[in-house]
Parts: sequence; structure tokens; C-alpha cells
Amino acid sequence: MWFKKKEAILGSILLLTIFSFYSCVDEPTIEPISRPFSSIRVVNLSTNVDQINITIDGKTPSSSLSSLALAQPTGYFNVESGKDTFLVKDNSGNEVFNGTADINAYERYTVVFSGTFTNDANNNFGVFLVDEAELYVSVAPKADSVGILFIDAAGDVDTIASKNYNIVGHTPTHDTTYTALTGPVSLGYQGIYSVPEAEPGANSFDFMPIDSSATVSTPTYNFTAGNRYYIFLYGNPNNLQIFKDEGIPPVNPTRN
Amino acid sequence: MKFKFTILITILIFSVISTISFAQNGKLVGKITDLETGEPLIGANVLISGTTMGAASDVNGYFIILNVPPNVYSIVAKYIGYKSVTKSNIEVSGNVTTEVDFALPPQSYELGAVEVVAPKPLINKNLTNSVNIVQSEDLNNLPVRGVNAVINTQAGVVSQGGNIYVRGGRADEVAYYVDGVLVNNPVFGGAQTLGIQNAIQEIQFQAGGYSAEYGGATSGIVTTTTKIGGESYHFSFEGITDNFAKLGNQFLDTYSFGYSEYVLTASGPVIPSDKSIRFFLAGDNTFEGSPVGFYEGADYKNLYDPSLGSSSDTIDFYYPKGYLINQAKNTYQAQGNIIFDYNPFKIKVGGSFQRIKSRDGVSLANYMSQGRAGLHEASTLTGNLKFTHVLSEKAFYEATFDYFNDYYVDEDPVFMNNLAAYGDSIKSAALGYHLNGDGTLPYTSPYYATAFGYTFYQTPIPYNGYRKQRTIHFGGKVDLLYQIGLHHELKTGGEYTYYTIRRYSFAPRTLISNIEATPKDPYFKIYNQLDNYGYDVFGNITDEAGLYAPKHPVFAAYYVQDKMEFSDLVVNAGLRLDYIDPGSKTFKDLHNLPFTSSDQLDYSKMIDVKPSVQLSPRLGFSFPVTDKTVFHAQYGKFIQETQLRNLYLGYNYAAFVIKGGYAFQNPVGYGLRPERTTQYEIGFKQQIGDNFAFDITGFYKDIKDQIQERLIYAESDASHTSYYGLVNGDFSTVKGIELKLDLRRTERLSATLDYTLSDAQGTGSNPNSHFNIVWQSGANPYFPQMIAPLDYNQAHKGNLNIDYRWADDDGPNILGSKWLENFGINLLFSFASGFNYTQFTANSFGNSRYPTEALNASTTPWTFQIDAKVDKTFNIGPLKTNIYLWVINVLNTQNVVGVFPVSGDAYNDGYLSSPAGVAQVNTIRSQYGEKTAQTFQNLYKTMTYDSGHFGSPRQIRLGLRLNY
Repeated sequence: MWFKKKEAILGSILLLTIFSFYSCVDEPTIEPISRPFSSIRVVNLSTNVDQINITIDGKTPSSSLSSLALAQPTGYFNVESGKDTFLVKDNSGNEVFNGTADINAYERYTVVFSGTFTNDANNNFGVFLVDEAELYVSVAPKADSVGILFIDAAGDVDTIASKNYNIVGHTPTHDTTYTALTGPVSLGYQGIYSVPEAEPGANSFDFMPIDSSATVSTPTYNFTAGNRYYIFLYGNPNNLQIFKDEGIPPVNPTRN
Repeated sequence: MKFKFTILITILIFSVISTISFAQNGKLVGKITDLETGEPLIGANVLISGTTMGAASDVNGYFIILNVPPNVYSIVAKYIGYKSVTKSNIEVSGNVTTEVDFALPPQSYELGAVEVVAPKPLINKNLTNSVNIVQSEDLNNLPVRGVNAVINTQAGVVSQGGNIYVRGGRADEVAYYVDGVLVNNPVFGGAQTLGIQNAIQEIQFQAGGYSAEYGGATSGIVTTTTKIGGESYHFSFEGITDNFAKLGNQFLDTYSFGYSEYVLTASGPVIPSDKSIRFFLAGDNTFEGSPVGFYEGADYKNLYDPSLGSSSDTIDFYYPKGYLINQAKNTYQAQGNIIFDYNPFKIKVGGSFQRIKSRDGVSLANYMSQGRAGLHEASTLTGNLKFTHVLSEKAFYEATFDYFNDYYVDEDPVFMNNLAAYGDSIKSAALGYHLNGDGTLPYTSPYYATAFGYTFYQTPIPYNGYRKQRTIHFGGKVDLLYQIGLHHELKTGGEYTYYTIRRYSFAPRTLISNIEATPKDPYFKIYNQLDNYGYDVFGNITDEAGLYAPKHPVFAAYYVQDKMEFSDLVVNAGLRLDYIDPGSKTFKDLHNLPFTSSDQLDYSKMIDVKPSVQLSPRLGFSFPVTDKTVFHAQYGKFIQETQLRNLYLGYNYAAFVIKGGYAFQNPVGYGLRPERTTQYEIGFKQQIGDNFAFDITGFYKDIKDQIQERLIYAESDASHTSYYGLVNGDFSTVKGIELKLDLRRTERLSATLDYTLSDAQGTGSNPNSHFNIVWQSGANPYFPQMIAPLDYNQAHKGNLNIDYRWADDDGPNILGSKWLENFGINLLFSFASGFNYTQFTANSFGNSRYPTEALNASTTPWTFQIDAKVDKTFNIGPLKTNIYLWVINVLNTQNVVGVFPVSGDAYNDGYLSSPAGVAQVNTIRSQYGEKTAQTFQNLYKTMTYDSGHFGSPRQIRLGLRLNY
């Protein structure tokens, strides 16, 4: 046999060499393209469903989505961007909402469930989105000011579908209309009004029906410089509820 | 005997069902006679020194040694009662029959063993076509480096734009073989790797008329044979550099281009005591700091656009002179082989690896983005195993298996494989760059500025391209050579090559906006922007059938030929059967393509392209009128698949282009046929005196079915518009005369002259020659139906190579030493007439320009260049040391190889002296003053300057070669 042990050893070395070089022509893997995400929080501002349980695209991305109480927003959490399906049930397991919302990629939202749930055609329990700009763009107010976002979720169970309010803000040190507001602002149901630069400190606001000069609420809030604040109007328009959400810290530009 | 016959039959059968290739070894023949009587000596032994090869003479004194690897040998003839004779310096070349006759003196002669140094043969009567052979020693002496550079010195070859054109064929019509393995890139043509020069034993170049064993190319065959290990150990080192100054700094009135090359080789027995197993290894690193060219540079401060007044941004614009920034190229190569030599069996295992890393550079308008110019990385791995079995002194067969794996990627040097990052403004911002949020470029101040209508990005931008391609082939071939008697060398064989080709090409800057716009789409709707096959939408390898399946072309061939070698006639007759399956799909009706409801091509309605089969006769004659006069003639038909890039385009991208009705400069053809060539060649070789010979050869080529771009019209009920496509439409005829003069070394001088007079005419120079006709001519385009000179036609081209060399112990004795011994000067004088071009009314593309003369009626100027190498060899202990100075373009001639089509000038496009240009300058002068007008003119010249219009400048390199 002309083919001996040493040839076999040499042949094996050659093969090993070839395989070693083969690794040099191996190609790097293209980094997986991350599916775009958005950051949302959810708040229940319904008039008659005190606690809700929410799934998004069949998942529960945050434990705070279970038994979500009235006027207690969840923290922010990430969801897949796009047309997301929200399924909402009350604590008894009754489906109160099953619909979609368009969540743009890399944006931050407050998802508001509002209105009154009924089992008939008058049901207006629904969802609307408060778009809080892109995730990777800082929306934090300047360090010496505050940002205020007014959100009207006060749906109506009566014949009036919605009722508008004038918002007149003023500081205790000023008798006149608060300068950051250009005047009485009309804010309708699901309406949003942003004051990007307000003065920190104690601020008072007058809320009144648009068709009336009678003030229904005059809360005073203390704002810390550099933060954003959300002021939600909810409940029955004839029995307006208001709560202030704590400010969120400034957001640094980032995209996963 | 029965065993051998069985093997023979087996091989023949296998040859029939597969295809054939060729052995790269040569043949040694001769006659042994009695010096006194001239009678043939029967049974005399002939041995090739340093090998186990040899033969015994027959009853007529003739001997034949088959399967001799190319090299320079000493041949010994021995016979009882006679003194042995050794003939050294016998060059054996692949597929060439070398004749060596011996006349042995009887023992009674009053002399010892006879040793003869054979002169280099000037005439080889066994060659029936024009074969140019360059051996390793010549490679060392020539003032050029690299296989293509060597080929460019040969008759019939034109070099333009880095491409090689042989006898008027297109650039992709040359096949490159290294040790019998085809190393062409089937997708884009050209050689993917050619190996390390120091590992090359021999380069053979055939410009046409090749015999039936050769295929895969319709114009030329370049065959490189690598060195193999001998019975003793040899080591060598070679270093070359031009780093005598920093990039951009001058020395000796020229620039350094940052070139350096280092080569190591080693060879010998693997086990010192066993000469039957030998190896050869070589490694090479070549670094090029910049491409070579006449680069003018630019230096402007406070450029602005005066028409914008005070709102104009100012631009500081500096680009160095003499080199290009960020366009370095670094190449690592390794190759080797190992031979198991057990007569009658021999196994040769070889392989090579090459890795190239280079940068693309950027245009002047993007000069801020030099750091982000495209990064190109390529790796090529080849391997081959050749099994040779010598059945008898008259027959042997070879079975070769080869593997080829090539991968390259073009990408952004920072983001590389992170495609989503290319258009991500946040990630760019982190690097100090600026992109718009949707990944588009910022066309606003301060990121973008204009000056006199020229635009400059003032912020670096990412490279917008990601392309990767992998080509793998497995091949097998079998060759059988059977010498029947003295006169018939019968060869038959077959080859089969199976390819897997994958491609993924994408402009990733748009990806981020796609992701945001379609977050729920599984593919982010990017698929219609992809040119992909063999990779899925996300660039992962896939082998699934369907839209993204890899391409699997199959090339196969079978040949049989008989080389009949008589004393007064040599006939090489053969037949070759080529089988080409492009592995592509086409449509039943090219004018009404099937689309799905989502505007994708309906893959289910596409059909396979039928394989092409062609039987190609090859017939060559050589008529040796005397030992010094030979006529030769050749006829043959040749077939070659077009570069597969002309066939392959990702189906989704094709749908995108076709549905969109876009003007597409690089479309593909569906159902293209291979190109076909018929060649005729007739020549005459004559030796004059003892040391001079010439060969004059006339050739004619008729090339059909060349690829041409057309508008493929859509039928009225088609769901798409007319689209751009390739068809078999162009044709060419080429005729010419090649003259070769060969002065073998006489005293100290040897010289060769290769001159070609040719006329290459056709209807198109490349598949995209007619793009502007398709684009601008509307519904009734006129395509050339008459032939005109091709873009790469060069009527006159020649190379004169002169080598003057002192031998060992040669030269005048000065101060007790022969300082000039082993000193040599090699000069290469190249000359060529210009290339053809057409004068136009405008330099730019578009329907506003039209030709002012017949197609390609003008020519660029003649070019002249002198290259030189001066070397000296001496010994330092056991080291044979060679030091040399190598100068390319000694006279620093700024040869013009391209011009502006309006002016016919390489420097000036003619605008500034045109009425429109003069008016613009006058307007600027009157409005903003003379200085501003001058700045505009200078900037215009800077921005229109094209270094591609010129050949290479002077390069001075110093080399050191050590041999042990």
C-alpha cells in the first residue's frame, strides 16, 4: 500500500489547514433589525369602569395593566409600534373595549381610556392617544420652566356629547390672565393643549364651561422647574374631575 | 494489463458523462543517436535530473516523456558503451511539446561526460497557434509585476480602464486558470485571484486559436502554473517599496504612493529523509497607500457663491496633491501545495487564500466624508486536489477536484453590518455627523453649501451602500492523455463545475424611514429595494426555492482531440462540447410579465432558461518547412456565457424597476444566449541566423450574440410599462496582424518585440453602450446596425523589451573584481495609438447632446512609456542576493488615455472657452470682479479634472530579493 500513515497525517493537516482558512471566508452576520418600539403609559379615565384589565396585541407588557384603577396612570413601558390591538375588560371579565390604535414608531404616548361603557348604542368607552413626541428627541422643558399638558377626557353620558371648558390660569402673584396662556383656551373632549414653557412654583387654573363664566374648579398646583406635568380632566362634564400627574424626568435622545 | 485497461475505460466513460479540461504539464520528446554513425540507439535511458521522470528510447531511438511539470530542467541521456550527455536549460511548458535530441559519443571518445547548455528555442514547430510563455526568470527581470501586467505586454492585448481586452473581445472574454482551476469571477468577469508572483513558475497566454481542451472564454486564455517543491530546501524573501517619502511628498520629482510588498516562499521535502513528499509555500502582503495617478489636488479658502450674496456659506476646501485620501488597499495572500510523488501515482494538493481590504474614496463634493468612504473586504479561498496515475509510458490520466469560495462585502466602515444604523440620525449625530431624521441627506445650511453652482457637503455622511456577494464552486475534471505511437497524442476529458451564487445589495440609509413607516410589516417593505438572491430580505443565507433562491449555474464540457505530430506536419484537431446552464429564470412573454397583486413578479409563472449546448470544432495546423521555418493556421468556434451579472438581478428589485418604469442603467436580460465567436488565424515563423526569429500572425474574429441594452416594449394589456433589458444584439468583427520578434540572448543582449495592428469594430463596446439611446430616443430608438470602431480599439500597440545582462564571472575586471557580473538592465518600451471616441456637443448626458461625427471616429493621442529595472545579484554567504531599482514610467510621461468628448482634450472640457462659458465668466467678472471670475475658472477646472484621463505617473521602487 503506497499510501501510508505519514501521508494520512499530512493529509489530515492539509484538511485542517483548509478548514482553518475556510473560517476566514466566513461572513459576518448582519445585525438583526430590531422591530421598532414605542413607549406608552395607560390611564383609565372612564366615567363608570373603575378598574380595567388591558392586553395589547394579546400580551400584557406591564403588570400595571391589570386592575388599573381610575386616574392612576401606569408607568411608561415599551410596545411594538404600529396598529396595536387593545382589549379592555372590567374586573368582572366583561369586554368593554376591543379596538386598535396607531402607535407610531419611536414615539411616546399616553393612552387614555375614557367615556362611559354601556351595553347599547350609547357606549362611548374608547381610547385616544396623547402623542408626546419622539422618544429620541428630548421634550424636557428648559431648566427654569415647566411644561404643562392639559388633556380633556371628560366624556359625556348625557345628550351633550362633549362640553368645552375655558382654561384660565393665573399665578397668585398676578391678577391677570397667566401670561403663558394666550387667553381662555377652548378644550374639547379628547382635546390636548400644551404649554411648553410655564413658570415653576404655585399655579392656579380656572376651569369653566365654555358657555358659561361660572368656574367649576380652580385648582392650584405647585410645579418644579424642569419637569412636565399633565393635567387630566375626566369624569362627567357636569361633575368635572381633575388630577395632576407628576412630572416625568427629561428624556435623553436614544433609539435602542 | 487488464487492470489498466479497466481504469482506462472507466476514465473514458467518466469523461463522456462529465466534461473535460486540460492538463497543464508538458511533453518532452527526442531522438537518441550515435554521435559517430547517426544510428538510433535502442533502449537508451533519458532522465530528467532532480525528478523520477524518464524514459527509454524505442527501436528508432525516439523517446517520449509525458506529464512533465513546467520548469527548466537538465536532461541526461545514458547508454551502455556511450558517454552520458546532459543538456541543461531545457524549458518545458504546459501543453507544449519540447524536443531534445541527443547524440551520444562512444566511450572511446577522449572526453568526459558531455554537458551542454541548451539555448532558448526560438521556434517550436509543434505549436499550432500563437502561445506566449513567460517563465519565472523572465518575470523576475521584467519591469512589471502581476499576471495582468505581464499579459498586457503581449501581442493582441489592449488594456483600458483596468480591463484586459484580447483581440477585440470584450473585457469579460478572458479565462484565467491557476494550476488548472478556473479562478474567474463568473458574475463580473475577470480573475478573482491570480496568486503570488513569486509562486508562479510559468504564465501562458493564448490570444486565440486555442485547442479543444480550452473553453470558458471566447478571446483569451491565461494559464498560470505555480511552483512545486524540489528535492532540496529553498527559501526566499522579496521586499519592494516606494516609501521614500510620505504620501503627498515628492522625491526625485515623483510621489510615493505608499506601496510596499513583502513575499516569503519556502519549498522542499516535508520530511528531510523522504523526497517523495514535497511542499511549496508562499505568503505575500501588499500595501498600497493610494491608487496611482496624476492627482492635482485642490486648496481653496472662503469659497462662496456670490450670487447668494451675504447669505452664502463659505467653504474651505483642501485636497492634497499627488495621492488620494482614504483609498488604501491591503492584500494578504497565502498559497501552497504539497505533492505526494509515488510513481506511478502522484497527488498534488494545493490551495490559496487571499484577503483584500480597501477603501473607495469619495468625490470632491463629498470630501468631508472621506472617513466614511465605502469599505471593501474580499476573501477568496481556493483548493484543489489533483490525482495523477501514470498507466504506462504512453498514457496517464488526471482527476482534479477543485473548490472556490469567494466572498466580498462593501459597507460603511463604521456601521458595517448594522444596516438600521446607516440612516439613523441619532447614531450619526453620536459620531459628529448629520443626517435628517428620516435618513436623507441634509440639503440645508450649514450642512450643505454651494459655490458657483457646485455643491459641497459640510458634514460627513454615512456611506449608502451595503453589498455582499458569495460565489462558491465545486468542480471536477478528468483528463486522459494517450500517446499512440510517436505521432498521435490523443487527449480527452471533461469537466463539470457547479456554482452557488448569492447576492445582497441594498442602499440602507432608507431603512430607518421604512422601519418607522411600516413597523408591523414583517419586511418593513424593504424587499422591493433589495437586489438579493441566496440571501433573504434580512441578508441571512437561504437555500429555499423561490424568489430568494441562490443561483446555481452549471458549466460543463467534454472534448476530444488528437495532436498529430509528424516531422513535416502537425495537426491539432479536436471537438469540444460545451454545456451551459445559467441557472436563471425567464418569462414566457417578455413583453407581458406576470405580476402578483402586490406588484411582485409572479415567480410561479417564470420558467427555467434552457441550457445551451454547442459543439465547437477546433483545427490547428503547423507546417514545419524546415527547422527554422514554420507556417501555422487555426480555425475554431468558441462559446462563452456572458458575465452572470447580466442575467442575475433580485426578482423583487427587478419588479421594482420594471413596475416603476425607471431608466435603469444596469438591467439584466432574461433568457440570454451565450456569446459565440469564430476565429481564424494564420501565421508564419521564421528563424533568421542562430539567435533571431520572428512570428507574424494574422487573425480574424467574428463575434455574435454580444449583449446589448434595449427597451423591452410592453404589450397593451401588460400591467407594466416598457422596461430596460439586455438582449443578444451586438456583433463585432476583429481583424489584425501580430508581429513578434525574438532575439534570444546573444552575448549579453536579449530582446523581444510584440506589435499588433488591429481593427476592432462592432455595434457596441459593452452591454450598456446603448443606454442613452434607450433612455433618450423615445418610442423609436435607432440602434447602430453598422459596425464602428469599439471604445477599446487600439489600432497600433507594441512593446519592446530589451534585457542586457552580464553573466556569472562576466564583465571587465576593475580593481580586482568583476563589478558588472550578474548586473542587468531591463527596459520595456510601450507604445500605442489612441482609443476611439465620439465627439459630442455636450459633455454631460442627456437629450441635449448629440454627436458631431460618425461613431468613434476620433482617437485619443498616442501613448509612450518606458519602464526599467536595474538589478545586481551577488552572494552573501549562502544567500543569493538580488537588489534592484524598478522605475515605472521613467520619463514621467503624462499619457492621455481619455478625453472630454467635446473638446477632445484631456485637461479641458471646452466649456470655459465656449460661448456659454465665456459669457458666464464675463458675467461673474462684471458683477463680482476679476478675482472672483478667476476663482470660478480655477474651481471649474478643479471640479472637471479627471485623473482617469491619464496613465500612471512615475513610480520608483526599490526591491531586495534573497534566495537560499
